[in-house]
Amino acid sequence: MTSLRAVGLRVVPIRSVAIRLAAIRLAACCLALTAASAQVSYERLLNADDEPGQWLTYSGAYNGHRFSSLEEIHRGNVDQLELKWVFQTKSLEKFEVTPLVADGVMYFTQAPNTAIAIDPATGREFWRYEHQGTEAPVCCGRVNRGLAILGETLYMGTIDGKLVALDAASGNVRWQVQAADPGQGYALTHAPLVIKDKVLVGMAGGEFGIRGYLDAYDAETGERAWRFHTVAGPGQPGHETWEGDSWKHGGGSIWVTGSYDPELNLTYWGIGNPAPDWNGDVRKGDNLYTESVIALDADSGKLKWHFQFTPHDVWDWDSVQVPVLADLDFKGKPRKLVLWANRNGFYYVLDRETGEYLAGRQFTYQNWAKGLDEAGRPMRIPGMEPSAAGIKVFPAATGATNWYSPSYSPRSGLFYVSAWEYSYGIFRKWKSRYEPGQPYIGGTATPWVPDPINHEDPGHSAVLALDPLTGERKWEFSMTAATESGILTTGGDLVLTGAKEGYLLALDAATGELLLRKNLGGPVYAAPITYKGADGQLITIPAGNALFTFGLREEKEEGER
Amino acid sequence: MYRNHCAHCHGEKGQGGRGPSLRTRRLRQADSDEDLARIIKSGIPGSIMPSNYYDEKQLGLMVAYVRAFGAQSEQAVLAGDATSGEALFFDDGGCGQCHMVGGKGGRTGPDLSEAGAVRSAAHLRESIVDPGAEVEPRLYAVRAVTKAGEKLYGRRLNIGTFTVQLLDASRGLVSVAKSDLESFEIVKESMMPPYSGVLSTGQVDDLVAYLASLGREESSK
Repeated sequence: MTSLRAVGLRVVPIRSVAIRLAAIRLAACCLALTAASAQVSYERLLNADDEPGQWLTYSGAYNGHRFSSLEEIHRGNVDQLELKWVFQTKSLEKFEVTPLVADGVMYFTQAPNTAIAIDPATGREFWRYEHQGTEAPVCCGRVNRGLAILGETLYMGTIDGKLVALDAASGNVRWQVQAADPGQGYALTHAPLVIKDKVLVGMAGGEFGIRGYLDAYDAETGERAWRFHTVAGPGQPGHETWEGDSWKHGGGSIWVTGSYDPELNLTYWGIGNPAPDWNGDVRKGDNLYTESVIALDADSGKLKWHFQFTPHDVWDWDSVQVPVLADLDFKGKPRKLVLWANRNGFYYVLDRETGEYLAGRQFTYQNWAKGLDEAGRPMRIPGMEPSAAGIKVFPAATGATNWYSPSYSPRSGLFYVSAWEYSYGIFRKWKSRYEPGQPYIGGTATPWVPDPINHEDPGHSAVLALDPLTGERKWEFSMTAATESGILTTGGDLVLTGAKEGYLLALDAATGELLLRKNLGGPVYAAPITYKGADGQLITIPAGNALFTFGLREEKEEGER
Repeated sequence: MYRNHCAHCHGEKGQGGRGPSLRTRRLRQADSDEDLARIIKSGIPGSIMPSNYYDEKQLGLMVAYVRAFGAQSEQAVLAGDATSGEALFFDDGGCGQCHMVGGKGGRTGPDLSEAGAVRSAAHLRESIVDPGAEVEPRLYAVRAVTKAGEKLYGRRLNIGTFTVQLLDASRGLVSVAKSDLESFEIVKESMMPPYSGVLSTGQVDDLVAYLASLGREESSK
């Protein structure tokens, strides 16, 4: 079966030559209308869950579930998946992107900052926009995790500190603003989040002594609407948690997309490490709002509440995980919750109206805290801070989990997270001095991570299924090498993920049983997405430096090839 | 900084150990100071050389410190005779049955063509008389029995969640699904027997002299 489609049009399957010609004429006549018809309104973003055929935001919907109700591919037939197409990028940077799919076009980025539009049915390219000026310093690769869309405009943050608005049909630049100074180590690496008429984007650079912030820009004009500083300065509540002038270069980066609750009009963001990373002597205090989740009024950027996972972090456990918002009964009462498996090894359940800590427990082995107290604050074990000689701490700086998207499936009622088990680091500290644009680290953390060739490997990685209300482990799927892949769950009761070994994996959401593995030949550094193509449900996953798209095997009609 | 991060592998005085000796005029992977700085900062993918966070000033200091080792290029006079060592290596010593030098020899052990460039004489000596003293994870072996009763033993090349790849001593390259194995273990001991007591002190000296000459700029022809 072939198909002819156009941007903004529904798919038109074509069988006979006569119908094909008619369809070509139809498409040709309608092409003139496409510019007006490719609209992703705020209403559609709000109700993204009702359009599982699309993938309209980084996490698929504002709630951060990375769950799709599509069920055509399910436990019983996932082993029938076949490769539909591969798109090879022209980049050797880590490929950490989550594509968007809107009205028959897939939009994604090739690192560092090339935006690309392709046909999700064939993998053929419509256009690409290559942003210039991406030589700015970054700690961990010149990566980009994706785009946001509103109306006919795409939004991309850049390594050189810009927010760029692109016309979705042509890739032309509508506007761009300088959101931060790359010369001081600021960079924009995550997919922006559109809320109403604003584009929200945060700043990476926690290893360069930035003072982080989250910005909101007018989606139409690029004019800045508000800014929230993630390191509390003079006049901000929490400023007293920074000694002296340490707040000026206190880190607090944002490099993973937040979530949004339209009823509360609150947007939730995870904040990265304080700077310098491994030497807290120069920044005594809790260092708010680093290693926290912040809840901001989406219109004003005013702080409603915050919760700090790792006060005065000295291990670099960025709390940049995607906030997962779920409405569940907690102790017999319906509550609006945030679910959070943190890089520090603990799982948290918070009330997302107030930030109240409700429950928590460690979800992998750790040796730095006796547990969480009644307020959710870690009860630290003395002597586990980095030292000149080095101290062995579980988890490693890379964390029990990291930025990889978790997933919550309302069908299974479970929370899924990619984890590293028994990874540890040897943490050392040294003195460092802040210099603009230079690493501001304060030590080192030699990681001992799951790596079966170069390390003795007491550890391994795993997909964990947790009880969302307690963090209790329901099942685990162990893997030999490390994972940096996010997780997608579906209405077909599937958990879809990858790993550094380079597989697409499909697991039974209820039991963790392996249903399918496909060797993609390169590490997976992002999470799969799913959407509908002309002939049914498709799954796209980045691996190595390419996008791979799978669908169910088609029944060919006689004479078709 | 060197003592904290580098000495563990490269030796307190740059003499080498698990990592190459730095007491050589020409570092094989770092001709220029820029290359050296890049390696110190970014590590060497696929090796145990990790990346490190250093600012520009720290990197400059580290490069200068490492280059200073080069000025003390290892000129120590070794007791043995390299020519005799070479003969021993390929003939009576039996080393060449498992190790390759310059494309000649066996392959279940590590290729030693660059041994002198990447290991100190002391480390080479220890590797001969007591190879089990320190075994790098990349040299671990795999011992397995298939469900069909076939026994496998060889160098671990790759292990994943689902499969194992090894260089079996008798079969060559083997790739096997874990689900087809009855038993499987990673052997963290050296596959090489100790030669202490097998070779005389003089023979060990000769072998060390031969191996120490391999891959060194001074000995290149």
